[in-house]
Amino acid sequence: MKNNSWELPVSLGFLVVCLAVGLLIGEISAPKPAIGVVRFADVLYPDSVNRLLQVVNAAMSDDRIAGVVLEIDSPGGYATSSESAFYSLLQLRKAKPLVVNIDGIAASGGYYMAVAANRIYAAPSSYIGNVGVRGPRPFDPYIDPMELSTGPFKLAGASRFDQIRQIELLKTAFVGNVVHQRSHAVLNPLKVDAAAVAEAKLYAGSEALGIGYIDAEGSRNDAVKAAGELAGVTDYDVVDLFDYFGFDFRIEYQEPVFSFEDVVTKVFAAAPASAIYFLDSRISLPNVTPRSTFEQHLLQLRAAAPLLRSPLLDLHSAKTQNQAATGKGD
Amino acid sequence: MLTFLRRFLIMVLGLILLALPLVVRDLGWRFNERNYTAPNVPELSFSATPAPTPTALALTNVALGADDELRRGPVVVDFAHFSFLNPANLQPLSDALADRGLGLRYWISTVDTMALESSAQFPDQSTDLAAQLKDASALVVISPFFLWTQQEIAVAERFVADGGRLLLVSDPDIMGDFPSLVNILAEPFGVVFHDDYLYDTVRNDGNFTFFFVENAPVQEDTVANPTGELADATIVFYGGRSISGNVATQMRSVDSALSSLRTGQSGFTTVAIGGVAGRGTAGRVLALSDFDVLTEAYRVRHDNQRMVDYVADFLSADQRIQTMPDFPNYLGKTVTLSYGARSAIDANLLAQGAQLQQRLEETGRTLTLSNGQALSSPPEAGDADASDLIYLADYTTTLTKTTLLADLGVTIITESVTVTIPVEVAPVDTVPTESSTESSTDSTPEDTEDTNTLRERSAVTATIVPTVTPTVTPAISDRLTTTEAEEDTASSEPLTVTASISTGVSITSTMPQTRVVITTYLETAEGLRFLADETVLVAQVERDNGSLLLAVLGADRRGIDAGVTRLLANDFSDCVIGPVMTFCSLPPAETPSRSSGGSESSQTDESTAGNTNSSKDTGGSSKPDTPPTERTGILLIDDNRAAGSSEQSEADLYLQALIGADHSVDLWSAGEQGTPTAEDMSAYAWVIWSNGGYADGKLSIEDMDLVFGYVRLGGRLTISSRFPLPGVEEPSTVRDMVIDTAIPELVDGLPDGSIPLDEEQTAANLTPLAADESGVQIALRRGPDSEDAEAPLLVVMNDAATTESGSRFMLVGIGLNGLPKTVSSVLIKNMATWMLAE
Repeated sequence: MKNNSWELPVSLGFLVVCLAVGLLIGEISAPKPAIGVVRFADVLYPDSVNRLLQVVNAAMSDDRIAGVVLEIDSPGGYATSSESAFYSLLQLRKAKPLVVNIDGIAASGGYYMAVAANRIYAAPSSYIGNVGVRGPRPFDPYIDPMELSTGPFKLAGASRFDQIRQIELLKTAFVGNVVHQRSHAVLNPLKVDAAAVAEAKLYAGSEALGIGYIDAEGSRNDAVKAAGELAGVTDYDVVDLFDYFGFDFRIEYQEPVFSFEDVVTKVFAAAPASAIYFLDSRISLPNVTPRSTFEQHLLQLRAAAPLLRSPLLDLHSAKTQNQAATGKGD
Repeated sequence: MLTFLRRFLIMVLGLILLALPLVVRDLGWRFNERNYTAPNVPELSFSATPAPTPTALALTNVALGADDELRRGPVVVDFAHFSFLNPANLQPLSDALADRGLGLRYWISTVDTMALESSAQFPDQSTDLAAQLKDASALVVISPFFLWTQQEIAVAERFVADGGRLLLVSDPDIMGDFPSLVNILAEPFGVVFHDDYLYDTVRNDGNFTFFFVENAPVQEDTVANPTGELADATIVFYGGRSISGNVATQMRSVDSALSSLRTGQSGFTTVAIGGVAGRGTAGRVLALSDFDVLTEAYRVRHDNQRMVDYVADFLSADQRIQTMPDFPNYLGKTVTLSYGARSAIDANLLAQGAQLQQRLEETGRTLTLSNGQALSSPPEAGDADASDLIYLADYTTTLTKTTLLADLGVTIITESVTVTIPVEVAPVDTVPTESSTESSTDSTPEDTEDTNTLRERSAVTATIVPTVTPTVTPAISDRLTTTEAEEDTASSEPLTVTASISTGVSITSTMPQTRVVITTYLETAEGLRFLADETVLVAQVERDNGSLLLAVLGADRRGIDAGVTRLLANDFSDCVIGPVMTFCSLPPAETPSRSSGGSESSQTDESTAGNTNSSKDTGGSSKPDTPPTERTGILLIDDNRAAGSSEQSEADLYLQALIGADHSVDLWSAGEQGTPTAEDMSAYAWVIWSNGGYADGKLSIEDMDLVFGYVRLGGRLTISSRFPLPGVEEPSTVRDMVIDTAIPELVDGLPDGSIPLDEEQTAANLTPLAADESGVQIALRRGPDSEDAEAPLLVVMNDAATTESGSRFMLVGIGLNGLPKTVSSVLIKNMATWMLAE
């Protein structure tokens, strides 16, 4: 018999290769599921929402991503952007579990995003709610001495009462969606009616739990665990979706945030005066009604007057001073 | 074979290793297993809310607004506290007010707010506010930005207490609205605005802040229950707050409306009537917690227009309580002006009437002039001519010609006080004089000093001693005569006039050391006394025919003028204002005025025949007790204080004759200017006191004291009166006169024989004056057809001595206008020649 000493190493090598290939095939065909985490810490405006949607769409099409945890820290923003985010997240939820963790604040549009989720977790000290619409006071149609237009509402867009009605429409949709989604929550469904939601109160996390605005108190880890449970996976990785997909952006405040007022003022500096917002009520609407120098002066006099203080005037005063600093409002 | 099997097994093993990881991951570890089931949440769809197209409301053809004959005061809107209010938003309310005969007036501040460094620097504007509210019907304050000061609030309170209406609005969606600030003004009226806003998420008009309000239920014991105007009205407030306080709720929010602040409550007051009874403001303040309901485009929704009408009705209701300072708002459309009992209106009165007319026309009223009968003969009630009357007169005329003072319960009291005046007497050589100063013939000069007593009012006993210094030859001893009071004197009280005259002895009589001071008072039914000379009385009386009488009364022309000035300026400061009578102060004049009307004379240098050329100052350079250095001109005093409306003035005859003779004459009207003072007379060479044309013309004791003071200082006086001397008043009829040749110069040119009067007169019998003819010269006597024939009519007591005084005293005991014109003219000229002779 001939001695084939080369067969053994070749055989071993073959087996190793098969194992390696098998592991590779296994990794590719049956990757370890992952729970993706995306953090949204910004106001809702087209740029921020577009980034979110990029991440959401990527997560939807990636089979490895078994579930998504959306971490929200947002006071809201444009009504249109808020609605866009909500409906996109609804689509995500159809495909994969979406769990929201409120890290700080989810007010108005920020909460609108949250109600698209399967579950909502929040720390007891978070601020949640403020379901409502904000916009400029309605005005009457006018004509501009420098323009000639066609149609009585070409310049104003609508009559005074149409403007009022449209704001109510937006509110109805917003409130309706919140009520609808939270009423169908499995863990902690909504316990108040639409009228109560329409009051637009801002609740602390523990209060929000009591009325069914959130499902449980917790943190990101709880949200990840919940996402895994919903996805039916017990062994999974937790990945940052921005890194996972190789995105070079984040959805965070560009600069250190001292107040949402600063952010809102900068972000919405170019917003039209007629813009509608789902925005935290504690933040002044930017550029709603530019104040004349005369009016600003009077408001400053009032702000400095002893005993004549009110939260509203303080807000206006701060806004006035901010506008004066940024050169807006004249 | 074995090799084949070995290789086969390796192949199989390799395949197994190839598939094993996948199997383990997929089937073992279930990495591909997804047990997620999306929640079965149905899609939510929102049907588009149809855009309601409101049915255009046809404008009703509203009839022309209230046909008020008089212009009503405007509604003042406060913009002076810089409300962030667009005036255009007031158009619907302005429209509704116009239908009710009221207009809007914007009170705009002149404060430069850009210059303010703090709100505390915002100034008080109460003076401006008072001017704005003087003729206003109502005041509207909407969400003021700056504080109302306490003075401004006081003005507003007085305005409301006077019947003005106040609308207070604190609207939470008006920039700068601050209820705590509005409450500074609201709380004195019992109104409190809460710092909340009301909302309704169940039933609203398109937004949760647009809540419905309903008529408040009727309650017992409330100041004012809801009017029926808003019952069943569907009204919406577009951003409002709740109201509380001592108010009567008119409208409240529906039960589903909640408060942002007042949790657990409902049915909030949103429209209320306030005011405090104790301050006279009850029911005159309307508090509203939303302004938008009154503006376009909200007022056309639901029944909001009824809210606009309700507010307009409130602001236009009621009438201001018109007190004296509110002239002429309490007068009707047609007003008549009457100047007492004067028969002629001079330029000054005409100018005054023009000012009154202009003032009345500013408020839609008309003024016409009337004669003096307007007060005594008012039109009957219901007469179309029953217009209101403005009556200007002095107290005396009012007392004698009307019953007004009696109707007001005011009487005129005159008190006389005899006081001792120490007078320095420059002794002359020779013999001290004695003069009787008492009614008793046993009186001695020393007794004069004992007559400093306070007499009973209206019953005066006084002794007047005119002092003259006759020129006599040293050989004749002085002789002083005293006259006793006539036993058959008609006066109830003895009154003695003593003339100390002697001839032939150079004497200096003792200056009289007593002076009678007469003070006139107005006394009300309550016993209040006012000095007539320092009081202007303005009375507002409703007459029997329903018209209003506004009387401005004073002691003299100056007082009347002061009263009219107050009316025109609405200045009744330092006046005590009552419901019917208002008493205003009139400080004593520093320098009495003089009249030079009616003659060509003036008070300045004037070169006329018969006059020494010198200027005459009103006050003269002389004190009452010091003779002036120089006297010029003639002062003709027309004592018309008791003149009847149809009686002719005798002074006109004097004036015509004297001017015709190129004399410089100043005319003084006692009825208008009051009694002249010694200073007024002291600068004149000749003073004529004339009331002979008036049947009731007399001189009072005070007048006598005055004129004799003038004579005492060397003046030349003529009293021309039917009753020239108090105490010598026995009347008898004069039908004719005859001349006497005692003073030929005086009767030169007059016919001899009986000179009949054109009209017989009743005059005092001056026979007592002629009892001692040694000091009296008679130029005219009663004729044979007169009673008491031969009694003196023109008596002269003169001093022809070369002493410095040069005084002359003439009494004319009839009214010269009873003489034929030619006779009186010649007589007057002769009088002038003789009296002015050096």
